[in-house]
Amino acid sequence: MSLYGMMRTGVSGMNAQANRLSTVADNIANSGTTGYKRSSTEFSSLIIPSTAGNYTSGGVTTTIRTSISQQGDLKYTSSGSDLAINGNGFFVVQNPSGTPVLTRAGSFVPDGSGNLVNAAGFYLMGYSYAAGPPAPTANGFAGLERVSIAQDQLLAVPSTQGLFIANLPVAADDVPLAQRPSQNAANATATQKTSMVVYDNLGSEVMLDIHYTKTGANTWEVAVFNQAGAAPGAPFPYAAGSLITTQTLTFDGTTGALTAPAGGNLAIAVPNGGAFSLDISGLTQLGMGYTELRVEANGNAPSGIESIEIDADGTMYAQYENGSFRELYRIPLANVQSPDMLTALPGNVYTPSAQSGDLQMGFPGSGGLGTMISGALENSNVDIAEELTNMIESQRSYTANSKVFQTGADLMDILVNLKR
Amino acid sequence: MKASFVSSLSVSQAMRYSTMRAQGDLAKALKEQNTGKVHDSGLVLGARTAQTVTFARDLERLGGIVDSNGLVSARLKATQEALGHVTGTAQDFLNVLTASASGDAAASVTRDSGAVALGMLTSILNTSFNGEYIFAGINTDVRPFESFGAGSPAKAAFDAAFQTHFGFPQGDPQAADITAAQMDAFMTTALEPQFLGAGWQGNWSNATDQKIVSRIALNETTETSVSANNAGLQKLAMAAAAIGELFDSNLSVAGKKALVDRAVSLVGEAIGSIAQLQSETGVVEQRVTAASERMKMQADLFERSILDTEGVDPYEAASRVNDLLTHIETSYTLTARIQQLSLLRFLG
Amino acid sequence: MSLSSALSIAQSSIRNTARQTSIVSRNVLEANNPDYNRRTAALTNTPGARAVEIQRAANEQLFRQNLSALSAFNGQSTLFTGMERLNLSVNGVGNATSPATALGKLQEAMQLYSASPSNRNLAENTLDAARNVVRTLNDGTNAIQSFRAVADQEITTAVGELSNLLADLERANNAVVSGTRTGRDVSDALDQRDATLKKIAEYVPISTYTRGDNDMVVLTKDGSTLFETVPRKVSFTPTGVYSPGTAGNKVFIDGVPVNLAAGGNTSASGRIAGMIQLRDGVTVTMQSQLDEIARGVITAFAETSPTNALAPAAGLFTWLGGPAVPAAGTLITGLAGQIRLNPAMDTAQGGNAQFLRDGGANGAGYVHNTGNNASYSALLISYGDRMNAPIAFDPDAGIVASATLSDYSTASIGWFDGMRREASNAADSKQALAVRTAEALSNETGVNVDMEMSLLLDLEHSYEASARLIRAVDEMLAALLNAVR
Repeated sequence: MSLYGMMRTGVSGMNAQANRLSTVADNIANSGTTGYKRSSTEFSSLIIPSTAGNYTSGGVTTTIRTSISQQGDLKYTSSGSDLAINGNGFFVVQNPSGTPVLTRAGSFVPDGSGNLVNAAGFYLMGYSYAAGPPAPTANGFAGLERVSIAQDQLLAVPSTQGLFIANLPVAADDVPLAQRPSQNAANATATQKTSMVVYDNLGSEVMLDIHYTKTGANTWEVAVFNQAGAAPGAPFPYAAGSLITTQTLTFDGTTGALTAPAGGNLAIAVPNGGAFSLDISGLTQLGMGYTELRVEANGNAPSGIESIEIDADGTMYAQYENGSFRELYRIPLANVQSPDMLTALPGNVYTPSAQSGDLQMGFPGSGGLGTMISGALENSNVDIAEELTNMIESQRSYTANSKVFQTGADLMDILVNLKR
Repeated sequence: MKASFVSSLSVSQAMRYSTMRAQGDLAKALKEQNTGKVHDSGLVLGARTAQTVTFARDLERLGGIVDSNGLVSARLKATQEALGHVTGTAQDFLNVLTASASGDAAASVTRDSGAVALGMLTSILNTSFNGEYIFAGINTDVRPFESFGAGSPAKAAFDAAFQTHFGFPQGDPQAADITAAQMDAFMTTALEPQFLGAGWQGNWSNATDQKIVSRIALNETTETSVSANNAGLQKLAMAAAAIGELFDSNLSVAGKKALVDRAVSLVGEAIGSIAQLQSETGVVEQRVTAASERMKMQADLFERSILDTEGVDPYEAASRVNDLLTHIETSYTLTARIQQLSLLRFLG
Repeated sequence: MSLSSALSIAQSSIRNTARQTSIVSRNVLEANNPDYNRRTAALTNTPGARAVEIQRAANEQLFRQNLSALSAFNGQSTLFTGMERLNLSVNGVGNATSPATALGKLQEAMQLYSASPSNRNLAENTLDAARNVVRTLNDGTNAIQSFRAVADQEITTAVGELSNLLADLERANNAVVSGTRTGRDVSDALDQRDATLKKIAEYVPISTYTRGDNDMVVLTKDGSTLFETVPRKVSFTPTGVYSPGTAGNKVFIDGVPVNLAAGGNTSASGRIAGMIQLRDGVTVTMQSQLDEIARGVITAFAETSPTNALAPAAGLFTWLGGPAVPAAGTLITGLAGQIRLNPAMDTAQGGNAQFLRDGGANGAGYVHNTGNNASYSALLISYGDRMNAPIAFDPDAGIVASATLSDYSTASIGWFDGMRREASNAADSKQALAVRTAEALSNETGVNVDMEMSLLLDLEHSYEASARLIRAVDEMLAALLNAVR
């Protein structure tokens, strides 16, 4: 009912539109910023209680919303250390002073000391595999450290386990005792000989010669030698001490399956290496020729890191020159109950606020969290067209408000001129 | 979609492979057409190659035997001819002797006819053919029959035998006293060992009793020569030598008669023996000819079997060449067409 | 959908099309490379439509068939070409230098000689024929043994090449394994590995299986390990000089010897096995047959005493163990290389050819023609008979236990040609199989240029469409911007 009230209402309207234009400006400015989340303005009316015949104009208040939970388009890059999250969640990063915050800006590159740092200068945090597979702290940043990919280590893993699956021919001839490989005579003959590579403690290759020899109905002898002691050309006789182990195998005459040793494990003491357990439970003795189906052993020779790979579940591997892999870190994702209520801080980072709810930690792909995509970045979720439309709309709205104010001012002018 | 997928490489490779094979076959077919035989008998016949090699070898062997049979036949023919001459000589000699027995001829004529007959016999028996003395048995590089001239061992032995028997040399006037019985005894006891006994080999003949043995067929060998050590020849020689040496004017009439009688009977026997020898030789000649004929037939058979196994029908080979040429031409054309058939030509 | 995302999608579509085009052009480029497998750029459903995943056409089954066909063909063709070479160097064109032919000639010469034994020219002629028999046997032995030495040399080369190929395989396999682990495109490494496997299959028959991360294990057909993580040692010690009876060294693959294959349609698979069969199988049997022929010749022409008072002694032909005659029915290894013309008869060595007609090269006790008669033919005829009389042969030489010398010599040719024919036929059919499987494999995995071209047309369209889309968005934004005043 008062002109002043109307003019104040107009001013509050203009302020509101100015706020909105500010967000539009920010949005347009950051439309190309990786991980940027568009801000928007929400208005709410401010009504002053009025009587039946008297309306007092109120105003409009502005609330700034940030669309943090809205995912931007993924843009693929050629860098393996560029990360994007497809789904919910945030990377946990740390500013140079050590405060952990959340972000979706995943354009990480290693700095001089190998730490992964993004464009805004935040360091990526992860759980180290140094002490075995990590478990995340469900609701805090404890246990996290900066992810570093310093490529200055060599790695050798001794073989501990192996697998040998093959069929031994039931029709093979029995070999008399004196000629069995376990006797290591010059004229020794095995029914079948094969070999496999294992690694000792220092990562050197050790070639194991495995001789299978039929000794009688359903019984075989397996003899394992260190190939380093083999005679040139023909393996027999091996140098003294080359015989690592020998074992009698018994097969079921009906099914052809291995019955003894029970459990089907062959313990092999790798020279200069650890105890190597070869799983031979898959051996069969059937009426076909020797057929090797699978021979495997773990372990690897020493080699340097060739590259870093990051899996969809956040596991970061070092790939060594010999092709083997080792987990270095596991990168967790953090989430809150209401991501849109996070407090935005400079550098596209967010920090939990009272409204956002408590922090939850988890690994990518689990518990409603998104998966991690290596070699991609998340674009800002700004749509220029929308921003421009908003801008036009705000501009018109601002003009309208200014007209309201001008009308108020004109009326005031008339009112003042009443008294001459 | 997948089932009908064909890679460009396999299209061109398949064509190349089939063309290559066809060209290889063409080379073989051309060779077969030209030679009339399979291009590589070993490859085509496999283990049966042994057969054709055996056939070919036997064929050559048969040819060799047929050739050597020609040699044998020629030798036998020469022998036959020589024997014919011997018979002729004996016949002539017999005629003179017969005349002499009837007292028609002069003594010198009779005596000369003996010397002539012996000379003829010597020259015939010493016939050589292809470097071999055909009457020598197997001792073919030595004259089988010694000539009966002065100083020859035969003459010396003859003279010695006469001297020993009668106590005077032949031609001596004392010969006029020789009776028919004496002459007969001389012929039987002194001359017969000289000719029909050991004296023949010692003084007259260098021939062996053994005759040349020849293989006249793959599995047949036979004696293919005649030896001078034949009773007929010996008797003829004996008659001729006796007449030539003893029938002179000094000899008594009874002696002459006994001598001629004996000579006539000897020559008669000789003609019979020689005829026998001639017919034996003829039989061998016949055998050799028959064997050659047989082997020629066999050779034809072998040749035919070789042709059956190794030969190629020239018409078949020719038509195969034509087929292959057409095939290759077609595949060239196809290759060219397929090379044209590319989407690239339509994508300007 | 916002305009921005429309733009970004069009952008990624352009990027994908570019990637696909590069694959198409690679395919076209390699269309004639038999070791190249067709790649397909498949669009995959990753968030934001990323896109291109490279798939490599492969057919394990056909590839294995091709490998085994390649091994079989290479083994067979090695055997066959080797036998062709051997045939030419031992038996000559049309068996001209075979012992059978030489023996036939000798028999013919003997026949001619026996028809006129007094003819010295024919005696010389017979000696010539005999000399030719000796030369044939000696040359055959030399040819066989030098062939074995060459085969040994070739095995050395093949083993060296195999080791190199295994080293190549290790490199390619490492590339495949590490590439697979890191999710890189390993098509090139796989091509290289397959190509190397094909080359290896030419030398030894192989079977393969793959473990985790595409890691390949290569075994030989008899189950010994050729490659597992690292190549296994293939060892062979060459033997420089071969003489009859020399046993060649074995080829060891990971300590397991490569077996000697048998048969014309050989069980040998791969070049190495083929060469071993040539070196230790075919040539050895062939040598024993020559040796047996040599023994037969020495025996047939052995001199006997007319009264049988003296033991038979080597006649026209003699050997290192002469004047004794080799034991009947027992193979004497290398005899064909030792056989010589008896110097007592050989006029070229100051001998007397007449001994052939008369006997007596071993002393007066052996003289048959005691009368020294020029046309004595019985002995000559008896030699001819003996060549056609059955004698005992060692069955180890691979033919028959009893035959006439002449038949044995032709049976030797029959044995060899039978095997050669089998080898040739088998080589043809195995080649056809190798070609056929290669063709089938190529059809499964190779490039069809026409198809790639039509694919290129599609890509062109899609590129054009994306570009149009970008222009449209651009125009829309421009319109919007015009609205802002």
